[in-house]
Amino acid sequence: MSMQVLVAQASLAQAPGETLLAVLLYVVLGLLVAAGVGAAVATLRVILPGLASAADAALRDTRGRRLFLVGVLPLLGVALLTQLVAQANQQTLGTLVGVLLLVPTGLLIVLGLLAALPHLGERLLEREHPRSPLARAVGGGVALGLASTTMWMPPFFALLLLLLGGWLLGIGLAAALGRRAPAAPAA
Amino acid sequence: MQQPHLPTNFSAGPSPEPHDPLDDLVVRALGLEGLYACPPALLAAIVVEQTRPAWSLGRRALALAASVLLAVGSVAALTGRLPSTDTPLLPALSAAPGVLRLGEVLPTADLLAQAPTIDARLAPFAAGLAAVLLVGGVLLARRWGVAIHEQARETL
Repeated sequence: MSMQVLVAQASLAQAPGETLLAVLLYVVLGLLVAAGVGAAVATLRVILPGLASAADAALRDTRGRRLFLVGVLPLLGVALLTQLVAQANQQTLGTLVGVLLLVPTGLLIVLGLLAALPHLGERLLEREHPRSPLARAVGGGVALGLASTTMWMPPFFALLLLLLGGWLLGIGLAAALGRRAPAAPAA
Repeated sequence: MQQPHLPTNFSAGPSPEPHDPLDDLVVRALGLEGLYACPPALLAAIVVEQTRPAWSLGRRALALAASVLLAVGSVAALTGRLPSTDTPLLPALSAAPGVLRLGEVLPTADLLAQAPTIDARLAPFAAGLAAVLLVGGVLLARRWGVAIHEQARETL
């Protein structure tokens, strides 16, 4: 048996192991990152209670379909504008759009996450006993992280990304720009 | 020897000025015009009260800019150079095997690379559509959104 055949057999034997290792690494890293995002959101809720309660009020008092509409429209506008600027290939314009549009959009999505992750954790993971704010946020983060595995199904992932991004941006926009008074929270 | 008269009731403040009947006339004339006289001090207080949110926004913008500067300064102090997209900040990550470089192996990278380009003739219309979408979303958020209530505003 020649040396080349031996090397080929060895690489074939190693390849499945390496692939499995990489997949496991992805799973562990992904779960860690998802839980970390949840923990970061729980921490931000403690540091910024006013913003967190504003986002909670927006999520609680605005109808779901309206939140989607409020968020999806600007999200599509931002995507379209970003694509145009990327095609224009002008650095100054790109910087301007980045600072004036993408950074605020990102901050508003983070504002939406402040309310959305604990809400997801509460609705998806709690059955009878209420959990701590950290557990709720981490649970919501893990649920979102698992949902992001749909990126191996691109059409479904694109739809999910549009709806989820629109929802988060809608919560953030409604909390930042809303004029209605919030309803009194239930006792 | 007669002692000079010294005020003893300081809390009462200065004695009121004599009433000027012209003031009543001016107030009545302004009232007939739908206007109301406003002492300069009260006007200044109203202006300050009305512009306070803008000041607060300015302070927050300054704080955000200072945070960004601090973050960039921290990264520069740690790495010895300013952040740049030309050279990787984490050389170890870029030297990792291809399977660990997320941007290269995840299907979204291909998806983004295949995004359709917009024809140059349609670019103004696309920009207008983007602006309409953005403004529409903002207007809907103003109409349907829930305001940050006072208690939350105080703790921002």
